[in-house]
Amino acid sequence: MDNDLNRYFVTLDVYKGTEKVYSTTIPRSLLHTISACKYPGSEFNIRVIDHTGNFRIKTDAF
Amino acid sequence: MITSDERGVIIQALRDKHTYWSSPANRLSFFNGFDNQLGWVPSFGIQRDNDGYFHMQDDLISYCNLQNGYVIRIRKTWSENDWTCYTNLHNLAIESNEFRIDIPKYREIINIDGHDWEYAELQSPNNDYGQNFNDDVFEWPELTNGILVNPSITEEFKNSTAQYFRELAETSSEVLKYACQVAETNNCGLPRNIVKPTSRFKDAIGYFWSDFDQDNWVDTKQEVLDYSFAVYTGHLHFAKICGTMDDVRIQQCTDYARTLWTTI
Repeated sequence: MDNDLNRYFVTLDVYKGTEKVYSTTIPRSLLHTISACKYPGSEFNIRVIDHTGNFRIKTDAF
Repeated sequence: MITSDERGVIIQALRDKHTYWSSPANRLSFFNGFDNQLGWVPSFGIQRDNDGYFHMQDDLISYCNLQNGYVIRIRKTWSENDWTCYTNLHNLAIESNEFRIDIPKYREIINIDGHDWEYAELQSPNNDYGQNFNDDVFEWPELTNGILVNPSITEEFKNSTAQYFRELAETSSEVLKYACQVAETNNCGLPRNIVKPTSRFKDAIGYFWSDFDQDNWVDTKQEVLDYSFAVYTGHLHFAKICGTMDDVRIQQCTDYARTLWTTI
C-alpha cells in the first residue's frame, strides 16, 4: 500500500541470527509493544524500519 | 455521522475479523507459521486498508481510521461503569478545558457466540489521529546500527528530553485528577492505562489522551499510580537506551512525577 498513510506505520523485520525470517507492518503508535516480544536469550531479534526505509532500532538494544 | 445501515456493515466487519482471529489456523498463517513460543510474536494482528487499520486480539477488535481519527471497536470484557465514567470524564474535559480525551460517540451491546460484547465509536477531539510518544522517539537521533547511541546527542538535547518527561508528568496529573473525581462520583475504580505515555497523543491544538476507553474502571488510585509510575520509569529508561536521557535526569524526572502524583 503506497499512500501518505505509510508514515503512520513501521516495518518489523524479524531475524534469527542474520537470516530474516518474517516481516510485518504495525502502526508506529503501537511500536512500544515490541518490547514484550523479546526476552533475554531469545535467538530472534526485531529490527524496526521506518516508512522511509531507515533502520531505526533493534531489540538487541533493550 | 454514521447511519444505522453503515453501522450494521461496520459491526459485521468487526465480527468477521473476530471470527478470523479466533481461528488458530488463521493466526498461525497470519504469523507465517510461527507461534508465540518463539518469543517475538505480538499478541495482536494488524491488517491495513486504504484509510487505516484493523487491530485484532482475543478480547478486542478495533478499526482505526487514520484519515479522521474515528475509532470503532468491540471488546469482550466491559462493565456499564466504564462507558458512564468515560463519558463523565469527557464532559469534565469540555467543562474544565484543562485536558482533552477522545470523544465518545456511540455505544451498544452486541452478542457474539452467546457473549455480550461492547461496541463503541469514538473520535479524536480534532478529527486527527495525532502522534504519540513513539512518533516523538522517531524525532530523536537514531541509534547507529539499531543499537549504539548516536554521538550527535548533546547535553542540551538531553535537557529537552527531560523537560518533555516533566511535561508528560504534568499533563498526566491533570487528567488523573479529574478521573479520580469521576471514580469517586460513580463509586468505582480507575482505568489502568489512562496516563501511559503512549496513550497521550498530540494534534495541532495540543495533547489529548486516547485508548483508555478500552479499560475497565476497576483499579484503585494507588494501583494506577504505581502502574503509571512503573511505565513512566520504563519509558525514561528506554530514552536512556536511545541516549537521550541519563541516570541523573531520570532520577530528577521520577522525583518530579512522584511529587506531582502523590498530591492528586
